[in-house]
Amino acid sequence: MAIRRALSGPIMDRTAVVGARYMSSWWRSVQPAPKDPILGVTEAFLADPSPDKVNVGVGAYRDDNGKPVVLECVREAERRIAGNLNMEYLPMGGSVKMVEETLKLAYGENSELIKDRRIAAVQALSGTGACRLFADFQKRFCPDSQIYIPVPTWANHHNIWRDAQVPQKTYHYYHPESRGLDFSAMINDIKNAPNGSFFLLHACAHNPTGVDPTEEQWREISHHIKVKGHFAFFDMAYQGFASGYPERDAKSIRIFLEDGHHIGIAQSYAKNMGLYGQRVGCLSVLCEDEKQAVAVKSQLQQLARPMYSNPPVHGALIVSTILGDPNLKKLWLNEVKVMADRIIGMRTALRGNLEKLGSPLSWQHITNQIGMFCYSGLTPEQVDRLTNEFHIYLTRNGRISMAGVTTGNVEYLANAIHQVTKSA
Amino acid sequence: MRHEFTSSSSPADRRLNALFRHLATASTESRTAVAFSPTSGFHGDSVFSHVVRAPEDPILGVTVAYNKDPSPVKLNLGVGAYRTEEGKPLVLSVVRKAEQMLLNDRSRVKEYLPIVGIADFNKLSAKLIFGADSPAIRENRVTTVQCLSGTGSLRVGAEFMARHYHQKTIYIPQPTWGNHPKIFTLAGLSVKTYRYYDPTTRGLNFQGLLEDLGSAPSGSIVLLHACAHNPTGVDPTLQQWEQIRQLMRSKALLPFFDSAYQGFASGNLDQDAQSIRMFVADGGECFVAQSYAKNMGLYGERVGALSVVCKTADVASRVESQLKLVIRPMFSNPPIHGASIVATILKDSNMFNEWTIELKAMADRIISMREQLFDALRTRGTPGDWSHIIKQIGMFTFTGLNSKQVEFMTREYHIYMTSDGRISMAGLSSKTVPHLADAIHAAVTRMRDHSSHSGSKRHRPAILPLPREGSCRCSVKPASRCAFLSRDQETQAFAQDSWPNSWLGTGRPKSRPHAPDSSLHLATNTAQYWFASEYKEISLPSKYQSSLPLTCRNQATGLPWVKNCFSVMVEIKLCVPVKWRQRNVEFTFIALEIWHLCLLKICLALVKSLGMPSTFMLDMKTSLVDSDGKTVFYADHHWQRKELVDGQGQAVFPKDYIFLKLLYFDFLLDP
Repeated sequence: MAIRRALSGPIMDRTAVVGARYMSSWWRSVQPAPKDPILGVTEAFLADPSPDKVNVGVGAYRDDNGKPVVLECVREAERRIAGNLNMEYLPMGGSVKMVEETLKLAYGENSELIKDRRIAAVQALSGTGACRLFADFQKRFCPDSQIYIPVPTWANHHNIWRDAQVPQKTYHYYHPESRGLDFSAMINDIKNAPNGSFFLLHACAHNPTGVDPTEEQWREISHHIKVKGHFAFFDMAYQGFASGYPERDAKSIRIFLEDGHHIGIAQSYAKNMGLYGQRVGCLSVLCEDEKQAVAVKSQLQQLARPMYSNPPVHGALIVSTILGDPNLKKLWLNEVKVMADRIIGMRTALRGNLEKLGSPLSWQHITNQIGMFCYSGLTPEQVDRLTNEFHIYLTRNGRISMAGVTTGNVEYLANAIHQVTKSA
Repeated sequence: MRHEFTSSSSPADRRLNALFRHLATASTESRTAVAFSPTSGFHGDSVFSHVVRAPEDPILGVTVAYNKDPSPVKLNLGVGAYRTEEGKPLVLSVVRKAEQMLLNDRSRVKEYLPIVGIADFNKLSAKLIFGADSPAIRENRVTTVQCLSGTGSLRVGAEFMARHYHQKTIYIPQPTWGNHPKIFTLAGLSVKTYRYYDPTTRGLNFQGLLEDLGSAPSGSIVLLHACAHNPTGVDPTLQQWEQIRQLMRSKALLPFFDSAYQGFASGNLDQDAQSIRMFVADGGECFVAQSYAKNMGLYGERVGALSVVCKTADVASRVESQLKLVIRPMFSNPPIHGASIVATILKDSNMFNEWTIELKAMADRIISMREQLFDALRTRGTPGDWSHIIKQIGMFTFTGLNSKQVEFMTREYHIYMTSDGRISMAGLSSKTVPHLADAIHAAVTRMRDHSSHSGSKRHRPAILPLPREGSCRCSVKPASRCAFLSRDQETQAFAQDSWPNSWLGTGRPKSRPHAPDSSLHLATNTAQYWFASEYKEISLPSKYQSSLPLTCRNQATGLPWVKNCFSVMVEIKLCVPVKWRQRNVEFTFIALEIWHLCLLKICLALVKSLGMPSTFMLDMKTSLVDSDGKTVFYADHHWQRKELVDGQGQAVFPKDYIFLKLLYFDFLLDP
């Protein structure tokens, strides 16, 4: 809300500007925007001279030495691309081949829906771009609708739907006491929302909590959403990165497909292929038939055209090269598994260390949660103590990026957490 | 016979479904009720059932037609990308080199860039456009953010202005790149045009430009093409730029430069940036959108930058912080690959020199194509003055050929281009110049110039080819001819862009050259609105079909054509009570749906009474005015229906222009 006020606030003081004419700056009255909190964590980390410092704030994968990783399959794909392909414009909807392979990941290799051409899909600028495109689409074609967003959720979800001018509502999701899912409240919210509402769901590895519904819970969610005629929009930023198996991570979506929902999906290759900076993703909307899919795709392109004309080619080439070659795809699946396994291993190690230290608290949620993040349940004050006394950097909501945990620092981290929580 | 659209439920479908129930035999009576309004809430399965297909990009259509043509001499002059003398796409060798360097550097990672992109890239891009010794850069008064090529930079800048600038009107040249008006309207700015191109001289309408900018409200934003104006290739001279600068600064107009062709126009990076540097040198503020698509051939990599020149360093940093707020919910952070290539090249003086040499070679090839084409037309004695071909600059030449002549060249010579007569010089080569010159010569000598602005005289219905022989078709669609009429029924303005299936001209009719811009905008907005909305074709039940064979084909399209058809066009004005304006617009739409049904019934009865022709076509169009002649709704920039309010804002329809062309239908019969 603070941001919102800053945006629409006293900026357009018309008389002041006209009176000043052009001799003074047109932008004098522009206020500095608030900084991204995650960025602040990284800045503080970099400024800290301590040799013990640990950054568990960033949302990008690190290997066991704390180093960024470029997957071997990506390096190989780039070798094949460089020097061989031209850099002409992609179509407005992006690389056809990339989109085709991407749909197979989400909807299933042999999906009838793909064969029947019932899916309208365009390449998008990673997860953000896909969500934004959908939000703009929702605004244009369902102008009176709202979006229901889980509490909590990735902070940018709020910005995206706000800038698309879609009103936001929230639904219950995280249960702070159990550090798990507040399932009954969530179902109640689904039931109480007006028929035909839009629901944003994290397909797997919920960001920032790492709390996912079980398969049975997904089935129930799907049932209630179906009964109410809601529209389910999935943000799937971590397919394969959560469990190590892309198929398993798509289970929630498959359940909805079985139940005959018409869903939308935002897919991203930032995490599972490590293509963070290449901005590769895909937005798909499942339609009633091919005709409608063609119409929807054409309208999505109309929204992309005045935003960026056509999407970037390089990342799309990497993805289609990898997924289009059975050997490279196999290599990728192995590498995804290695990343996921390392994180799952670190969860076990962190919990084990805390229990070894004799922590009286329950740390079960560390291994119950899944994906990049662990919503530790640490209070802002405890986080401050971690930072000030132990040089451990994370956001004040207690979100630990498991990718930042290594065999080298897990004991140190466990001890620090034990120190700040044992008196609580 | 089952018709194929029973399962879907767009408004057009529902309307037609209802029609069938009216017309068909009693067997289908038991169907459920029909929902007329597209927003009547939850019905059917998909919430997006009512989404209709958007019109295709006209430039895309050119390429599709080109690809289908089997002729060996076919030539595509529609695309906006550079081609070599052999007609092949080009990746600069310096780009290949940079890419290889990046590939071999194993320490490079692909993590997220900061929201504003690569810092080096931004710094170097600012230097490239403003000059290495620009005082604005030295004083840290420039903020530069990496964006997705030209389009992305324009959009981010426009969003920022819509949020933080007091004046929400942007003036764009007439004509301009087709995407410009869409970008600015979607960002929330209101778009007006200033005169730029003079069709008679095929040069700059400098007087008109000064007049229009001179009468723009103080503080308005003005979009300027930094060099190589797209699509006309007409640039102001340096003296003219200076006059424009003085006028704009004296009126406190805010310049927004689109620089898509730096170095590509003249072959010299500094020369092509002179217009911008003039505006920066006076210490004033401006926006600049830069693209590396053309000058580095990085089209698909989407590399560009938005720079804002401010008065002070403090303001610049605050502006940057707000630009981040625009970018974060749009795409979080920009793509890394293309910008890394650019930064690698700009950083290294050897690679930079190599780039300027390759850039000059591209520009020189295009300039030489201009000379060759001009010479070829002169030796053929082609009537008319063709000196504009060598005077214009950049990728495109605005030939001045009209749509009839373009159509002729496509049909007879297999040369493809957009219907406004724009040709991409980059698509030409020494080998193909004679072929093009022959085609232009033939088109000019054989197709007399029927002005495309003659308005209602050429107002006849477009006859769509029928899908197959002996078939019938009923189409319900929006107006293909969007025109605004004055009280005396004289056309004031047509839509700015030509639409498929439209025989009307574009712009203003010759008889009313001074019709106000507002009517042009309304016509254009309306046309855009209608063309984005429903358009449906269906097959009628077999009892209306005949087995009589028809063998005529349309020469231009190769599709089956209606034989010996004649047309009756009926135009009906539907007036609604003034008080309806106060009501929900949806309500009036329901009324229109009912109107449609009645009219279709009347038509079909007429067809029947004429004894079942083998082929017929119904073509209906809808719009709405009320009884005092005021338009009941219009399309705003979000394409939503809105009521007009008298005396407030820009939505007011000027008093003198009262009719939006109304409900009518074409009625075609094959005797």
